[in-house]
Amino acid sequence: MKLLRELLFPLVAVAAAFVVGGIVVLLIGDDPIYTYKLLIGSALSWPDGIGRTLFYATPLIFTGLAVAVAFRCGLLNIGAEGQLYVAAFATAWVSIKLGGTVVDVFGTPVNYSWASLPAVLLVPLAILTAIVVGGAWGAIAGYLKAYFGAHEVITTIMLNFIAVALVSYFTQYHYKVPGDPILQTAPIGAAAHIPRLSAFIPGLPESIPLNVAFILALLACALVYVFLWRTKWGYEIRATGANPTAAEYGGISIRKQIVLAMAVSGGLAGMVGVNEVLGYHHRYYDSFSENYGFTGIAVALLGRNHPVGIIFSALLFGMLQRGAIPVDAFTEHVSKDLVQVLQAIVILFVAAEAAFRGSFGRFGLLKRSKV
Amino acid sequence: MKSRFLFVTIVLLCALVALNSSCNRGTQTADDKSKVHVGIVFDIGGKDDRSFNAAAWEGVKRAAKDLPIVLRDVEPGSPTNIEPAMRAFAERGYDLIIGVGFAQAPIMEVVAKDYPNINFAIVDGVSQLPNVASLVFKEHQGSYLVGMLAARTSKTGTLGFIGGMDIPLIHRFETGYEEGAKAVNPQIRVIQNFVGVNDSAWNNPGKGKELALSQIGRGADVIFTAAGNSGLGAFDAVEQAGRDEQGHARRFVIGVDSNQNGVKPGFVLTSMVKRVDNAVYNIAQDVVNHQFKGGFHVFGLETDGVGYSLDENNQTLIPPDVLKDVDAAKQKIIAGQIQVTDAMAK
Amino acid sequence: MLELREITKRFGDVLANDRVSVVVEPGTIHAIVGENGAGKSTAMRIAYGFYTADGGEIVVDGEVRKIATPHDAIALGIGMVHQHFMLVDTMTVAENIVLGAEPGSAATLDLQKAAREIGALSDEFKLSVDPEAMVENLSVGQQQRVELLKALYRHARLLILDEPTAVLTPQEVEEFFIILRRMREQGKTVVIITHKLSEVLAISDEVTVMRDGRVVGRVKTSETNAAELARMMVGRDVLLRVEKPDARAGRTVLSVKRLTVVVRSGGERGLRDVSFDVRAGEIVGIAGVEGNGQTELVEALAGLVHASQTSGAIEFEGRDITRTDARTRHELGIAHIPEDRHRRGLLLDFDLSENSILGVHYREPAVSRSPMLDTAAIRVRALELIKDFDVRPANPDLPARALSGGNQQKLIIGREFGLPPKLLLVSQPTRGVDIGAIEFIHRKLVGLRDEGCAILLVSAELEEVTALSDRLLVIHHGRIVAEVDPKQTTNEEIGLLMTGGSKANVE
Repeated sequence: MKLLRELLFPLVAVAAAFVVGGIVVLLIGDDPIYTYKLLIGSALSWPDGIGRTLFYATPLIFTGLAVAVAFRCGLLNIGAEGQLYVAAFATAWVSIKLGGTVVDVFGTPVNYSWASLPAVLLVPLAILTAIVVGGAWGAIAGYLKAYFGAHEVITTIMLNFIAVALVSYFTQYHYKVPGDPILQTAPIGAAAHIPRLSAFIPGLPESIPLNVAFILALLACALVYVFLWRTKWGYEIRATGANPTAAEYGGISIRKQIVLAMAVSGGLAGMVGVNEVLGYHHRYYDSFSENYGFTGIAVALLGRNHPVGIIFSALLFGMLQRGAIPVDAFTEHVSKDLVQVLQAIVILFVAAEAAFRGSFGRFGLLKRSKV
Repeated sequence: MKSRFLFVTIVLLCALVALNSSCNRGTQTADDKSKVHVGIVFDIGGKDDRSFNAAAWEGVKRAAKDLPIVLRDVEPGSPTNIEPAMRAFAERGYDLIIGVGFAQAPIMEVVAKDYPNINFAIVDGVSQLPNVASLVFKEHQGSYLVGMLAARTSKTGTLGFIGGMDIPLIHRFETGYEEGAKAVNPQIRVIQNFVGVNDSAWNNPGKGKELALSQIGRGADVIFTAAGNSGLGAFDAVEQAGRDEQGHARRFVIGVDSNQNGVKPGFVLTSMVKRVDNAVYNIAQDVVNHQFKGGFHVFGLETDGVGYSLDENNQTLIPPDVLKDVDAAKQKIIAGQIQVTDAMAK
Repeated sequence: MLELREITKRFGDVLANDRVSVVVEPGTIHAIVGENGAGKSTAMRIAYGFYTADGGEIVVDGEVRKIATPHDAIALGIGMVHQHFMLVDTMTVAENIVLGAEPGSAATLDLQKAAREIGALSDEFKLSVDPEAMVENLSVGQQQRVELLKALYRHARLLILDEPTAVLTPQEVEEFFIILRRMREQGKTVVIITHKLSEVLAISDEVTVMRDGRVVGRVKTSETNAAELARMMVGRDVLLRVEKPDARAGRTVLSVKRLTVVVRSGGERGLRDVSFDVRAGEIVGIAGVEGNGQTELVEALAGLVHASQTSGAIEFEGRDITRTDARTRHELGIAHIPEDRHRRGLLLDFDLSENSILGVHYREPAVSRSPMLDTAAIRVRALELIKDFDVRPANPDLPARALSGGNQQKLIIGREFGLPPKLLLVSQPTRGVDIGAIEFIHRKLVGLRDEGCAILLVSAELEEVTALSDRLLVIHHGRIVAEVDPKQTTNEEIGLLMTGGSKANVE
């Protein structure tokens, strides 16, 4: 019963988004049924559709979790985008510097590394780097909020700009293969590559970039659940988010919680780098993120800031992302931006829920009728 | 009460959608299996950049009109969408997939490997795969000619060059331009700037305008842009510089890729046209005629693959004697008597 | 004048009003009493059009009326003053009053005319409210009179007052009752919602008693007494007086020396140079009008005020704890029942189990060594707490929000008692708590005292603080102005001290 109520609103939001989106499609002169068939069909076809839907869902699970952890502490982390960029760059840097000789874009073997670590060391190290660097970048905003009162929305947005500019700079002027027209670093050492799931799942072609990071994302969901609801640290973070004055009363240092929550949040966002660098591009590729950090906010909202909900909403958004291009290509007028319309409407409805809860929700009523 | 209202609204909307879509179904373009399917993936600038992408779009549209072709296109908008776009076509067994822009080359390399039976073509890019046609242009030759035109037009002895992204391909425009100008006037100065280092450099007219204004401030009176959408900012900048008493433009811009003379008539000296349209048209035609060949397809002055544009918008801007000299230089380049430096061959 | 017939209202699974019938005679003061959650406010909000009833009808002046919105109610001459005032601080009295009922045509707002009318109304009922005054500069009692004026300005003949005395000092209550009687003389009808029996007996003509969403009795005030009303409200005999043996005070547990607390937003409400001791086995009460430094005092003692904002010294069992944080003090054995349980005491969206470990969540018994919460043990302990402190409903998985005020308070008390405390700081322990629970809480506090705990009690309820305390300190403007023996002093004398009168005046 409780579960049903929790599910009702997200489902209504998604349904409503599709209805409104359908009307938009109709207005621009295409067939909504055909468009949606195309969208959902290409997202759920086996193996390409499902494989890529899951691949797109992977970063969104991470950023969704990142936003959710911060949110549980009462913080709005708009900075997942910046956190994942610095983390991706850092993990690429480690994998280049400790990855041994590689073959560059022109087919020439080059060695930019100091050492050549075996995979068993390099992969964990690279993952750890992504988490630590993303976490540190997130903790900056947390620190500014906790000790100087700078609002995290402002600081994380600013840090996004700084992050993007910083990694672009390092890529362009320090880590690009000379002569490469594309803004990307040299490739990472082969030892740092994490396996694609095609190696384990029969029927999944190797071209599908879905990789072990997806499994790590599911694992992260479980860990975040345990962390938030089964450890004292999670208790303190949630208490701070639910009622900071009561948390303070309970002997919890709000400042520490803010920094901790932002660090955990940033670390989760940083895991996107693992998917993109170690699992897909095998190098740092400038502007690889399809707004994963920002979409993560929507994912968390729709997923009710709960790891299980986030898995489902990340899958939905992954589907939309996967279906966007076919819709753009194979309809007469509809462009891939339809997907953004759908996402926006979902967010709108979910955001409107607060208003609905106020007058319809049981607790909302109880609160008001304090007889 | 309100929830019931919401429910009714949703049901009504659903009904409306269902009704309308059932009526609409007939209008969907029939997918004719006998036709050749061509998919084109544009660069970040998009097909309305009036320049590079627009030229490619022009070419495939012409092909779709003349030939039995089903044409579909995607404007990826961000680099992450390029691969999915190519794959969307490949998964559906398209016959020819065209990628516009060098940035797509490494991606096409990966996709084309997965689909060896599908023909690919990359504009401005290079691939060694047998099923990829590399459509490349001798931009330095065309740039040499517009460099001559610029030098003959300039009163200040200072020219400007605005490149999109700071990459070897764009340097090829710049060196050709500078060599052409120096051939006319060895003392001439060329100020060069680039919009940026990543993909957004092609799609930032604001920055383009800012750079053009600064070059004008430093004395440049003819500015050559090779910056996709960003170049359009330079067009605004020269228009802002205005006209003199005789109604002539004070500053000129030279367009690129497409014939951009009509974008701001009177202010555009000429355009260094790169016949991307012909290139993609030809490759589509090859596929229709089962004559597709991978490898290099080079377009230079001799095949009119590059050149400068002359039309009613700029006829009065270029005196006949200048035209004569430029045409002579063109013949010499074709004949090999003038060697224009290719910045990418270094 | 107003009659509710068989009004039924359901919120989800909760039946808030079950066939409630109330008859209010014109020209009388009618009290509606009942414990928290009995359905008093719900019934009256239905009469005011704030909620729509699921069943039953409303009769006004002998005619069945449909009241769907407050607008309908106002049109019928019904006005309501809510427990929490609905005033805009930065506007004048006149502006607040005309808000939503602007005189003149739609485009022009004739404030002068409105101010004149309001002034006349104020004089008529001797409310002494200046229409031009800013609301933020008014005392709580004055703000309440502005709310009354608001209703009168809209030509209300029937005024519904929801817990009007909760925010007033004893003196203000007296003044307020004079106003109500005057309004009755002028022909107005008043419905007053309350749970304070002394007030019911003092002001009303008739009483309707509610319990669990039903009307359980309707009596003339002159024909009843407090014990009977309490029995009807709770459903059993209630001990209204606190019974406690004399204190056997032991060693000094808490020693406060020249404690001063600076409040960032101006020093007016800070604590100034306060010194006192609390010994083991005694309850020291702090009496005072709210906002005179009690909050600062308790929060400073609990470690919730930053050290940079305080001066002076706090000693606990001979140890200087002035610069220690809340967690350390808690570990030393200082428990704190905060004045505002929603703001400080509870995580409303957390379940009872999770609330039962707030403050000890990081150490045994919630966790031992590992960072993992021992949820099974926490649950067992929460169930014990729920049983010992009679928290209802007895379900540790419910969110704290779902509990009534009294049960929320019992949960907090149980949690803090479990520390176990050597010093208990307790603030407004029975605010918004039912009579039955009040009795329970008072017994628990006395019991804790008798076990040798030192207790510092702050309460705005003068009766409570005098009944429970062994020694009583009176606080005014952040200073302790007197120490009195509660058994030797009348409430009137204490009331005078609370509002700045000196002891000399009393004697």
